[in-house]
Amino acid sequence: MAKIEASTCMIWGGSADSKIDRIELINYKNSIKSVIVRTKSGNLFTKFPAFGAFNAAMKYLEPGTGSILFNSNDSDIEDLVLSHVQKDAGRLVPNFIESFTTTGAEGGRYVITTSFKNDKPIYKKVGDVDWYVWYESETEKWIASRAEISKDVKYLENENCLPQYGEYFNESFSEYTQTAINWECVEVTELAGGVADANGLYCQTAFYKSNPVYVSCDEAWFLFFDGVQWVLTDTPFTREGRWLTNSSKNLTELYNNSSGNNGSGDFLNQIGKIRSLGIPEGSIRSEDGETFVFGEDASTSITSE
Amino acid sequence: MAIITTKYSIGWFGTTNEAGGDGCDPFNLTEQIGTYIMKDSGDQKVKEFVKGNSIRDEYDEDDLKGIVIFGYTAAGAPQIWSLEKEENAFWGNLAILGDKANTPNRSSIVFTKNVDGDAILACGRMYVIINNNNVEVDIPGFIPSADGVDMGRIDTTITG
Repeated sequence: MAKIEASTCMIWGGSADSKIDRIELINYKNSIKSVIVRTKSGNLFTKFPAFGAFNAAMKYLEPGTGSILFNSNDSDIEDLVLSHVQKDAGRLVPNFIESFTTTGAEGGRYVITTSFKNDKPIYKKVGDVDWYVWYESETEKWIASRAEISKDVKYLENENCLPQYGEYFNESFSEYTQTAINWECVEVTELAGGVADANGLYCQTAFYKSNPVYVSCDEAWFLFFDGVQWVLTDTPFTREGRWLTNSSKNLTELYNNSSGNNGSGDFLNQIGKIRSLGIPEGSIRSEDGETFVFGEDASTSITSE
Repeated sequence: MAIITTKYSIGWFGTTNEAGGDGCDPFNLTEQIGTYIMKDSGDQKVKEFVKGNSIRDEYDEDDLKGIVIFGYTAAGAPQIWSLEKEENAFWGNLAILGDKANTPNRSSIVFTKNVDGDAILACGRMYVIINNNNVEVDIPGFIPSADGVDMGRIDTTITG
């Protein structure tokens, strides 16, 4: 809950310890004058709550978005974190990795930029030769392109759905092939029915309470350690939505909700499996089959031995 | 971290890390983007621009003057940093100022600052960055937002 008292403030939607819903601005038309957000195309856009009834673009404040809020009357708004320069309000647990590294003829370190394309951030390589990694919604692939954000130039495609994992390859430009390194990724399988969309690739993007956080390709599912056990959830970092736990400190232990006690109703009788996707180049880890047995850094928390 | 590639950015400064969040380092705008020093030039004192450590060779003083960063106080007042604020952070040269004349006056910069008076992006705050001249600068720890893209949640239990 954020108590908005100042005439102008900055807000983020929302905190990690509670379920976050989009905020319907028209419900605050008597207290909020306007809200400025940054659009995906890079411009500023002003939302007027009173116009939310008939203008879809002004209807909501979305989770995971920052904005400047102009207030006319004090208000209490759930799901927001208030920011002002005199106070440290916490740390962001990002849904996208901040930077990743590739090897290859012109590989290197890619860093998130303030530009977006197809609802995902664009990454730019640090160094002399400009390479960009961006998401192409038509093919649902991450593309690495040279010199500009386009497939009109030399470009590579990644068959995987997260930018920090896998190989960027194009037969026509094979000399530029780049391979992502130092990733921490797992695959979730065996879930069915209404929660089958939780299957798939997850890669680490950040840390929550000093443990790795893994995020699915569509940023809809999260794996986090709650201090006792690993939890698969669609409402980070809570059990207020759909969730499934493995009651274990070992990430790859079975996620068995046959009892009904290890998950929400949506996961009843589900048994999910998680397997490591291996040891990337540059990692200081070892494995036994599908089980991590050694990790020297944060991965220690997911060792089974 | 983020490379600033757009004219407007609204974002959160400070992310979690494996150490529990204490690893967030403030971004020193004075050191990393630029500031001024006062130098002797004959009988005169002149301000000399000092380019920041994070700025590529291709950008000059005029380019960097297009960067304006601001946040808001709890009372809703904006606090603004720009290179022009750095340029003006000196006492005047009037004789009445005595020894203070032409010396740094960091208190004139009203922004988040460190103990040395350098302007910083402090951990756990939101800032707006306006980049009028499209200077590409890497600001580690700054995560941009965009309307309709879920960039993550704030762990409010980790503060400095």
